[in-house]
Parts: sequence; structure tokens; C-alpha cells
Amino acid sequence: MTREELSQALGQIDTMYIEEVLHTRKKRPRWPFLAAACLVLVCLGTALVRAEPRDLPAEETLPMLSAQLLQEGMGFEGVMVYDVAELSQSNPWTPETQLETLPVYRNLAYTDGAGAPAWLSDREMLALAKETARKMNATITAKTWEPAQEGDRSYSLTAQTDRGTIRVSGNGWITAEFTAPWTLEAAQALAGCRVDASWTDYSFAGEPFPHREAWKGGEAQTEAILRYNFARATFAQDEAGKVWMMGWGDLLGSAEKLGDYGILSLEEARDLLLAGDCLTSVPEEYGGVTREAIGKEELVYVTGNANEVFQPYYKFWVELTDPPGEMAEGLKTYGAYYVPAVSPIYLTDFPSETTSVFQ
Amino acid sequence: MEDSKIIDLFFRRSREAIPALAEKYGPLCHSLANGILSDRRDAEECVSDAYLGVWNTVPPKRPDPLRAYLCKIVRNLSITRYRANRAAKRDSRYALALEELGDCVSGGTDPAEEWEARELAELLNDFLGRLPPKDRVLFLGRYWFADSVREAGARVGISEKNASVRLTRLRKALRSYLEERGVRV
Repeated sequence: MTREELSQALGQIDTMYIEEVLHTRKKRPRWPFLAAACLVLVCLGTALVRAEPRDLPAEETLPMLSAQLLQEGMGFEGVMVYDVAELSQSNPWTPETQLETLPVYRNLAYTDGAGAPAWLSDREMLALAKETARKMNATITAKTWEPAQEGDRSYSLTAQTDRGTIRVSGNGWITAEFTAPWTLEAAQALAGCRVDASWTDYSFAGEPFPHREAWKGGEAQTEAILRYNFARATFAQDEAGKVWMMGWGDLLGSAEKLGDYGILSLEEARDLLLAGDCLTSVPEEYGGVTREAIGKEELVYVTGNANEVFQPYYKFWVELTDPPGEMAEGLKTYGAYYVPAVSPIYLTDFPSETTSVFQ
Repeated sequence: MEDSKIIDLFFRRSREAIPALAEKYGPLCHSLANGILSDRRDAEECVSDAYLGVWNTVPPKRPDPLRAYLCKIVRNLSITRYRANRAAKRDSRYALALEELGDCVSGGTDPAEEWEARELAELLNDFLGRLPPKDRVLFLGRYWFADSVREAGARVGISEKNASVRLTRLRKALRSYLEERGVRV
């Protein structure tokens, strides 16, 4: 083992220890002891799941997978809504969808758990930036690669133009911040994503926060599922509804197909969830999972670049019985719980007592 | 501004979100990044990228606590940048802290004994949980936040010399702990 590996592992330690140190800046030297006593009470979003390991043969032709699900950052994944129907209804997968297999991909832009993407060459990133500038009718005036060291593969290219800033990441994801905001229609055309996937959640005070998103659309069932998850766009709008920043891309452009894997049915995944075999960042004290508390069921790919593999998961939105914070009357908090959709015969670590850890 | 209100701004995709985050935690982030990189310009860029990282992950995340969440992103980005720069620079506090961590490992790589960072992190969590709080803060101040030995000692109210001795013991304790659990260090 190298000291860099040890340092990298240190970067993933429990947040409560980091908070403990942060408190010492203001209140030393006695505070650490008090802080430790307090902070052990705070659950920081890691739930371990337990189950008996399975002893089933795997298909020899397909690589074995880890069920690990890495979401960048910490905290728990949850939404506050008055009605769970306010979440996106655009997913082409529905509980009625019947699927035997789904493709799994290796993320070629994966570098490490920090999530910095490196796959496209400098030339390919520049070509994407130029193409985007052309579509914006803009002229590139300056370019910066990150990191700037010669010989290293870049994570991103930032191009300044006379109409805004374009940033191309090493996985092909593009962001643009406009000098003068665009109409939503023009922004959707720029991204080539016109199928609405917007949703809304709310602040504790009940103020709505619309999330304007779109995807590319697709005809065939599997193609549509893949595009919904990988070929997406997100838009930041100002008070007038104009888009001042947007991000888009097709992440399958930096992925390699590992194969078509047999998947669980929704019912099988739900049974695993109810048995406690799941991956979640929801602290246990916010509420348990019951069949009645499941508000929404969907199938998604987790596409964050901290993941070496892009694989499908069943995602369950579960109403929390004891969520944090004081919410406006009528608001409900739903937490996200994941069950790998890939059959456990292809998974090395699920169900097991060591899975289910968010970064 | 309270963290919950800053997070609300991110959820609202408000232009005020990042300035609010920077106003509250900018000095802390710059101190952390600068300790790792020893380069103000590099540190500023990493901190800016960290703000963007928060923008890209909140929502759907509701980080709690926000401060530690942000620090973790800053540290990851700074170390990534440090690796890119290290051929040219070896004079940062992080480089010194990293050298000290070499006491806990051999530096060799045995493919048959590769440990994932996540598995190691679980062991480190256990190791840290067994330490008295004072030792834990000292250890992480030095090896997570890249404090100087004096700064790390000051966090727990001990002298630089005392901190240096205690850190040496902690590194040895970590090495023993890892070896006992089958980690080939």
C-alpha cells in the first residue's frame, strides 16, 4: 500500500470526525471531548444492510459487479413534496415494464472516488467546445484545460466566448453559462433534449423549487430507458424563466458496454427492500421502510462519475415518518432507497453486511 | 446565513447560492486547499470547483452538515490537483504530512493485496473511533486538514513538540492496527 492510497482512504472517513475537528477551530482545547459526545448522536447518512449471502452460480461470460453505489458528497438523498406525483413522471420505465435484461457499462472516464472525469482527449474536448460555440453563434476567445500539466489527461476544458462560458468535462458533459439568458426552447434545442423531465420540490417553508430538466427521447424500450438516464439536460432559469446556465451530454459516449445482465423484477427488488437489503443514505432515525410508506418506484441508472460501472437500480421513494426540520403543513419528506436491479448472482457484495455505503 | 437557507438557495438554483456559500465558508475552504497545495492560485481554483461541485450535487442532496460536506469536496479536489502538480512541487504541508504517513505503510503495491479505498476507510473509521477525542482531532488535523504540527497541536492545546511525539505514536498505532487486520502495509 502507498501513502497516497492511505491518504485517499482518509478522504472517505465518516463526516462526524471531520466535524469534530472543525469545531476545534473556535473552541479549543476542551471542545473536542464535548463535540465527540454530541456528534456520535448524529447519524450521517450511512445505513448498513444485512442478509444471508447467496450461493448461486453466475454466468461465466459476464464480469462480476459490485453493488456499490457512490453518490458524490454526503448528506441524505431526499425530497420534500406535498404529493409524490410532483416528482418527474417522465421516466419511460414504469412499474408495468417487463424486462429480462438491461445493459451494464464500464465508465471509461472514471478516475477515482473524487469523481473527476478523464476520458476524452484534449482535441476531442476542444472539438466539442467549438461545436457548442458554433451552435451558440459565439467565438471562443480563451481556453483553459484542467489540469494544465502536459502529458496528463485533462478533466475539463473551459472556453470563454463572447456569448458566455463553455465548459467541457472529460466525460463529454457540457455546461454553458450565458452572458444574456436564453429562452427555454432555444436551450433545449442547443442540448438536443426536448422531452420534459421537470419536477418540483419545496423548501421547509413550502416554497416551490422547480427543477427544469429534459432528455433526448427514444422509441424502443431499452433505448428510451438508456437515453432517459444518460442523455439529459438540466437548466437553471432566472425569475423571468430564461435559462442563464445549462448542462447536457450523453454519458454513454464515455462508456463501454460490459454486457446484458439479467435483472430482478420490481417485486423481487421490493421484497429485498422490505427485508432491509438496500442501499440508502437516509439515517435510520428518520424512519423505517414499510410497504405502505413506499410512494414511488422507478428504475434508474446511477451515472455520477465516482462510479466505475453504470448499472441499473430500482429506486424507491419512501415517506419518512420522522424527517429532520420543521416543514410547512402538508409537506412530506421522501427518502431514496436503492436495490440493485442486476441479479445478485452477478454481484460480489450484495446482499451482504458490508454494502450500502454512500461516499 | 444559516446552512439550511444556503441549501434552499441551491435548491432554488439562485445566483446568490454560491456567493452565500463563499461568504460563510470561503476562508475555511481556502485555508484547507492552501494547506494541501501551498499555491494560492491553485487553491482558489479548487475552491471555485468545489462550489461548482456543490451546485451540481445540491439538489438532490441535502448535505447535513454542509460545512463538512464542502470540506470533503475541497480536500478531494485539492489532492487531485496536488497529484497533477507534484512533479513540480514538493513543499506543501500536505506533502510533509503525506511523507509522515509513509510511516504507516511500506509504499509497495502487491496486486494480490489491493485494498479499496472504501474498505480502508471503514478500517480507518474503526481506528479513529477507538482513539480518545484529543488524539483523533490531532491526527485528523495533521493528516486530513494538512495542518502544520503546531496548528494541529494548538487544536487540542498541546505544544508543537508534544504534538510531534504524539503523532509519531499515532502513526505507529495505525500501522499496527492495519497489520493486525491483514492489511499488508
